Amino acid sequence: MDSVVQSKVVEVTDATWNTEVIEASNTKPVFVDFWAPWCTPCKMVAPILDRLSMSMDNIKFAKLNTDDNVDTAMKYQIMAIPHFIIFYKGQPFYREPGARPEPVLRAMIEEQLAKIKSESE
Amino acid sequence: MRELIIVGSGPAGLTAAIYAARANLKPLLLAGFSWGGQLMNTTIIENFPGFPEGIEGPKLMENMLKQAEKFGTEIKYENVVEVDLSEDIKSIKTDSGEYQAKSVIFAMGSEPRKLMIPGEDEFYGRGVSTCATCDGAFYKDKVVAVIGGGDSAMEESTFLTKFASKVYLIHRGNEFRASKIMADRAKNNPKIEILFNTEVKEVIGGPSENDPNLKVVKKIKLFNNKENSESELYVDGVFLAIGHIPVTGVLKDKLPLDDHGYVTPLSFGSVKTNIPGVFVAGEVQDHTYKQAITTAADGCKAAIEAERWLAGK
Repeated sequence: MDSVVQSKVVEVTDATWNTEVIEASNTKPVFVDFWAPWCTPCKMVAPILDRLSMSMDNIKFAKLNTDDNVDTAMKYQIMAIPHFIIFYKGQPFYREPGARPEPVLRAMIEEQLAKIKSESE
Repeated sequence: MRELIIVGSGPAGLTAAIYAARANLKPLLLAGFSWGGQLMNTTIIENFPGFPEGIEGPKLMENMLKQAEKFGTEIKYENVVEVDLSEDIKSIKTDSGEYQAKSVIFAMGSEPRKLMIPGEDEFYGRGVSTCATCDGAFYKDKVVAVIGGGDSAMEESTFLTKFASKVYLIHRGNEFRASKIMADRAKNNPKIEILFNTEVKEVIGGPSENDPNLKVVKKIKLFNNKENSESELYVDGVFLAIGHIPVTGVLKDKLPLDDHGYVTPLSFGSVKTNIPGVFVAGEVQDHTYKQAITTAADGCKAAIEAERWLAGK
């Protein structure tokens, strides 16, 4: 039985990084998931981000395959995956490595969004 | 209310599930968020019987999971946060729900031990790691240190030579505890430099080249315990392979734990505890053998004991 995964997570690459993440983060924070196909905890996190992307409107969700996009992974010194970085105004605003359950990820994102909101006020 | 809940999804938990499901106990297995246990973080297992060419850790665990599900195990990927074993009906609370059962098998295994030195936590995921197979790929052409003297340290350091330009293998003793075959592999590897009688005292970071706001590991402070001398070593990554500690936090004050946190079963090697209907399997209680096959055997024994106990009620 085929089920269509509901997701607004955008796959980004070295080539599309600037437009999809850096420039986009000027208007809205961008949550980036650094992952790779061989990383099992990354696979546990992927469906969670799919769900969060459908219900959280104040942040854009993107994912970068570190195997195929070594330049960007190296630029941000990714040394463990899954690694999450929230970008705002072109800069890494918050970063944290390690897979975690949905409620914890959601709380982490909401906490950072609140900080971003209060900083811009 | 169920017949049996199994906590843990390594070889102990999954083997218990296979046996319990085939005995029609309809077990609920609480697998944790990151399921599969320590074998998920290793490459090839060469000593599990039945696999002369070896088998990849994650593949073996995937097979066990499929087998458990095939016979009817219900699996939830939740972390247990609290247990109540004081009543006839045992209660298990997770991050998502609460479950009751007549009997429980605890098989949470163990997790990597930490050195508890300055800088270790701060740089976790940014130069400090407990899993070479997970993170090794990110240290291509870099210099790394592996700390430890057992089989894991030998395997991790050998594995890292595939990526790193140099691997320092640092052990506080004057000889490795590892099995001869594994120790020789490390000793004969030209990319590995061994530092015996050496302890790591601190992980020191500095700004990364690409982003001065981001601190990454730059060097480690060493202490030679034979010569009583200090030194510093420039490394990009530090991999801890100094052993494991049992995941028995939720069992504190519920089951007897020894000085190292391991559950004390009714007798050495037994899967029974002092609480009827409560069993322990694998590295939550075993610090002697710690092999996939012995852990799986524990799981089997625990399921058989649980079935007998339930039948006798």
